Amino acid sequence: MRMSAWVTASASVIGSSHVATGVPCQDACVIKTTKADEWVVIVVSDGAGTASRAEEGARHVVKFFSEELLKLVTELNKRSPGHWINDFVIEKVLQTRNALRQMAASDDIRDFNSTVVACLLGPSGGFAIHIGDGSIVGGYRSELVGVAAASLFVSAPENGEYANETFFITEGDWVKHLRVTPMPKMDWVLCCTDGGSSLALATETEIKYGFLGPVIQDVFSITDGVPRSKKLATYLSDPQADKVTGDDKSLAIAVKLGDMLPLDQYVFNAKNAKKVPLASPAQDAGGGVPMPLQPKRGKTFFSNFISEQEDQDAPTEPVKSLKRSRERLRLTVFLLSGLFVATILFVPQSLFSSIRGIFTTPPVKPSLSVEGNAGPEAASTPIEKKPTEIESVPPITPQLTNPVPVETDKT
Amino acid sequence: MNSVDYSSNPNQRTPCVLVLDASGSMDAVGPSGKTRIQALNEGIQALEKSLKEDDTALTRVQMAIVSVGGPADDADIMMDWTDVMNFQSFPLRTGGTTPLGKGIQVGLALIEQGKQNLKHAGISYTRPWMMVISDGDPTDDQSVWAAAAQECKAAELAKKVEVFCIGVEGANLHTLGELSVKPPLMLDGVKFRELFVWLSSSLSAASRSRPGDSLQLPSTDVWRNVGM
Repeated sequence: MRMSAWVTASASVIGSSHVATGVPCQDACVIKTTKADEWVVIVVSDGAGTASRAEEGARHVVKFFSEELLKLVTELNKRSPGHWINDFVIEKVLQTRNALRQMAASDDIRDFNSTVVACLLGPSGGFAIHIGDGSIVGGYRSELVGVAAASLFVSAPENGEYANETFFITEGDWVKHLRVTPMPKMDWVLCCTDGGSSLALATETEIKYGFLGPVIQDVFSITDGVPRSKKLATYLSDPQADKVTGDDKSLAIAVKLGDMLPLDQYVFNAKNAKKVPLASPAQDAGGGVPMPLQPKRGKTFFSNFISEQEDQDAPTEPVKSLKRSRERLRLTVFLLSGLFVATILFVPQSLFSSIRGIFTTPPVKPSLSVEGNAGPEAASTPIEKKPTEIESVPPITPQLTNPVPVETDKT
Repeated sequence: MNSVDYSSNPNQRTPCVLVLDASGSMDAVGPSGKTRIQALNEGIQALEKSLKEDDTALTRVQMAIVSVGGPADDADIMMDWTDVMNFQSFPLRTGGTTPLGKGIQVGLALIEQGKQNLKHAGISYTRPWMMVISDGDPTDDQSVWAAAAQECKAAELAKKVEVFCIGVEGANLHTLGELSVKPPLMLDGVKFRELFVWLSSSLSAASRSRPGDSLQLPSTDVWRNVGM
């Protein structure tokens, strides 16, 4: 029988550049398990170095999300996962933002700029929540053509063109950057801020085995009375870590000791999680915004939740732009048909009939073809749906979040 | 192409171009008794020292130098991209005129090229900086200077580069200031290490929008607006 209890360790350690400049540690992390260690909740947040109350923001994010996700377990024991989980996540983001507004006594909560890197995992799977940079990686068993394999789950960081520029839960357009990704039954999982990932990951989709292997082995396998999280923290505080990053660094790790294979056996499989072409909406064409990489899911407890997204391995960003261009097309066609109707109504009949004489086909046809186009487009939802199912949100956001005015202060 | 070894150092990079004025006018002696070029050379040494003192900067910052004027009396690349750990500052010699506008354009092109190199090598980078250290009296044709200044400001506003105009003693700050949306700074007061730390701390990719976003920068609060 497999031992399926979660064992955990987590630490946030101040970065050397924060020490040098007297800035506090702006990372925060929380890791919690349910009573029988059946479920684990991990929440990590990186407060932006440029925000004055970033550490408060990060602390609030991890406290609130961990509490709420833990409560969700009770719900999940009664009810199978589904779209309501997306709604749940969105609701929690909104509540977080409202709480921060109260802390700020203002609608502008950018002083609390912070990321969200979180997951909830139970006996048969779970899901990741991600806004901004930092990483969620984890190992799971997959079957490729009947052959057992070990794969790496990845929820990659989302940056702008520049490595130190990312997106925050505190911004007006958070909804564009919220990623909720179903996770299969995991053997182990790691959530980290970008400082943490520069130590633990070689690339967005590769573990630094030379670091993470020995750390996990020491923290989880050797019982010498030192608390696991304390042990993890010593690795993060090592002076050698400062040479890799001057940023605050957080790692939160949960493992099922009985299930875990050697780390290097878990390999990110580009076929399982289709490699998303780099595309950047706002920056220059060559820049990359890595979009969610979604592993293929097996049959799990979460398959209901997952099935909606089975066909969404397709690139998210290109889909967005495809969607945009379709919307643009629709708008254009709509305007053109409006113009056409106006022509019919207002152009003198004599002139109109002479124009009509030019065309052999009935003039109504263009608007009919619009209808014809709209149908198949609406039906081709597999590509159009976003992984987070957040289409339902935009109508709410304008009331709840004031778009951030972009000032261009030149003094 | 440059000679930087990426494989030994897979971190992210911060490209930094220095556009340095080595024109004849830099021989002028300032109130402190130093010539302007002496002050500039000392400034570069201070920059090297402070970046090397910071473990992260040591492995992250990449430098390139464009000299303006000097014995060759031209604006050209004097040093191509070099990691700070391999960088050794050297004194500049003065001479000739001040084609600063051309120097700016060479610098901006170097930055784009540096970004491309990093992209090809799969290395991430923070926003590049361009530091222009000069006495601020360009001798380009007025049209060349105006075009360069406009290009420079536009690049900054498009978040392609963070521009720092740094004047030596007695510099014409008004002219230098045309290069950036930020006010120019005097070389004496620049704290390069703080500048690096502050420039590499994480910020919003979506909206870099207000003065308060950057209050960690110590003692040079005129820079608080950087990061727009």
